[in-house]
Amino acid sequence: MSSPSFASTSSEYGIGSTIGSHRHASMWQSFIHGRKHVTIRIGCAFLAVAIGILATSFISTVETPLKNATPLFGLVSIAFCSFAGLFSMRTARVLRRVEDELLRFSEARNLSEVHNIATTPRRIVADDPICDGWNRLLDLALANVSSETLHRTIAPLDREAVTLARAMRALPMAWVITDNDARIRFISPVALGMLGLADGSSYEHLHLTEVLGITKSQIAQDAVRTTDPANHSNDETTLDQKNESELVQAANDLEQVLGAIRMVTLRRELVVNGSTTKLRIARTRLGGRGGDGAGLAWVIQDVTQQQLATEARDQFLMTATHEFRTPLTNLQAYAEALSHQETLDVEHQKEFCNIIYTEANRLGRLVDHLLTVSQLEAGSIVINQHELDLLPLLEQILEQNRPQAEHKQIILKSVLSAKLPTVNGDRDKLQAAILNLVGNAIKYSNNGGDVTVKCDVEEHWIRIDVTDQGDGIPINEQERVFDKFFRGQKAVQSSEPGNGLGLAFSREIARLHQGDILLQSIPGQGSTFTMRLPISGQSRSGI
Amino acid sequence: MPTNSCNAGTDNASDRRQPTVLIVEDDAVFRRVISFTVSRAGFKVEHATNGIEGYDRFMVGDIDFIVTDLQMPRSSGIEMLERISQQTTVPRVPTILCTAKGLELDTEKIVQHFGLVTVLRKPFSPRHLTEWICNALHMTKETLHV
Repeated sequence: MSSPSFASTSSEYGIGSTIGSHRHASMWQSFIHGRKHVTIRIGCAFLAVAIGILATSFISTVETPLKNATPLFGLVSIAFCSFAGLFSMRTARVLRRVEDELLRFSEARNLSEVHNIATTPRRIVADDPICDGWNRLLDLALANVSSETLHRTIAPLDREAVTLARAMRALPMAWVITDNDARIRFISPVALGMLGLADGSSYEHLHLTEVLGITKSQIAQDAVRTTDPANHSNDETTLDQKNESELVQAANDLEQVLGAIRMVTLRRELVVNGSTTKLRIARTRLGGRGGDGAGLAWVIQDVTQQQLATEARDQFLMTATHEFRTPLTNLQAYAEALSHQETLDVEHQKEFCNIIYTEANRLGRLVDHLLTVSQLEAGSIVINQHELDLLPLLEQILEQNRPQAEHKQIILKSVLSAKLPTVNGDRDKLQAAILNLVGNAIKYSNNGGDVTVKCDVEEHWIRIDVTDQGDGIPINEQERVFDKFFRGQKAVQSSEPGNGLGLAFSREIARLHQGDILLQSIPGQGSTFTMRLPISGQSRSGI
Repeated sequence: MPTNSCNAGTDNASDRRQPTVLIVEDDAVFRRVISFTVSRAGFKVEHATNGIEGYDRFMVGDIDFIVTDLQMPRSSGIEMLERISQQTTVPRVPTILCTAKGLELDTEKIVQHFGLVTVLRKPFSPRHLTEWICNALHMTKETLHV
């Protein structure tokens, strides 16, 4: 029997000459092949042949008027045999097709596992009941496992998509995928945070260009804000020009990001949660197949810290250059004064020589300091750590500073425990670091004040406090006093020489010993610099 | 006796008063050597250590030339020049700005804006400074006489 999809499915496998009309095939089957079992059919064919041959042999041996027709009987026998043979061959051929198809399918399935190509066994078209049996079997199998088969072919795609989606979400970078009008479709968690959209509100209706402030209206608002009457300066024309150029810039940016150029990068400043972030935006066009999936992929980088670091480096270099120029200028000027003033008296000569000597020393110290700080930052300084008793070191430092303190009528007090645990440290470098703290305290104390050096144990730390009764450090300067080359306003105004490197150096040394330096200062009352160093062993002092 | 070729104190009639140079510089060591060289060239020297002091001294009067540093505590050289330029009733005085800044400073713009004689970058020779002062004052005097 033919199935309903007998001639219409694309996965049919025809056997050329055997294709006839359905009706004709049915008649033929009902007439000749009432039995469907192949073996019985072939057996019956050969039985009919055997009976035919026996009959012709019997007739030819009996004395009959047909005896003369023996050759004709031979021919009839041969015809019977040929017919039976052809019939068997036809059946065997259909069977071979079924075998071929099974073989092909099993090979294709092996391949499909490697190359992810979907494959199914094909139907066989022939007017043979064997084909019907095969096709029915196939229909049954496909009906039973159709859903399973579908899953099997799509699963590798799903796996890939899920893995990629997970990777994209887990990547620590801000990406956004939008449509061609920059409407947000997908956005990474990092981008949500960076653009201030992480408050749970829906972002699907938002345009990324609006979020980034690349819109004409946004720039117009910026322009209005800048020209706010409260901020009016005398230079209105400059402001107007600036706004105009910003508007033009925004229009250009908008045109560019939504334009046809494949890759666009630009920089924007964005105020998120009250702080300004500097963003570097790169957008790429996504080409979809036939417009499907087309859009824009955006990668946004926060370059605020990077820019701050660059600015800090530039500032450092500028300050360093300035600091070097000052003693150099003096050296050159005094050397010239000495050599070109023929009638210079001895007193002046002596004075100028002294100044040259002092300035040369100043330059030398500056070079040393700068080199040390740079090396510390680069991590190329080796700290020779060994067990160190701080008490003798502190006493030595106090002795070193005593003449300087006496000169300013400052009382140098020390509150040292009789017993202190040891630290693992570099003696020379720690001494220089603490010397800086004590030296600063004396330098910036008013005449007649007190400077106290206190050393004690606090949990796992040794704590060295250097307290002065100077003018204190203004709150806005407190964080910056450890910056290289930073000198507080009062320090600059004072006549005390300094290059703003001492505290930077001391803190780097403390940190290199896994410690730190902290500052507590109340303007008008004085400052306390606290150095903390980790304890390494038991005390040897005072035993 | 001054040894410099530019001799401001003796180049004219004795009734003319000695030109006064106001030196505004926060670094005492450098101020000392500039004062020394300029006074040796025959000028009278007045000092100030920042822009505010410099402005106050200038407004007192009798200043013929200003030599000012750029970066100074409390008030910079530029701030001082701004304040002076706002005083329309006070006649302008030739001025030289000294700076330890490098190429980041647009000297040409500053010279034009304040009508400066020049901007000298540190380190510079004090002798060259006195030459600049002499040249500028001669030119100014000649112009005034015309």
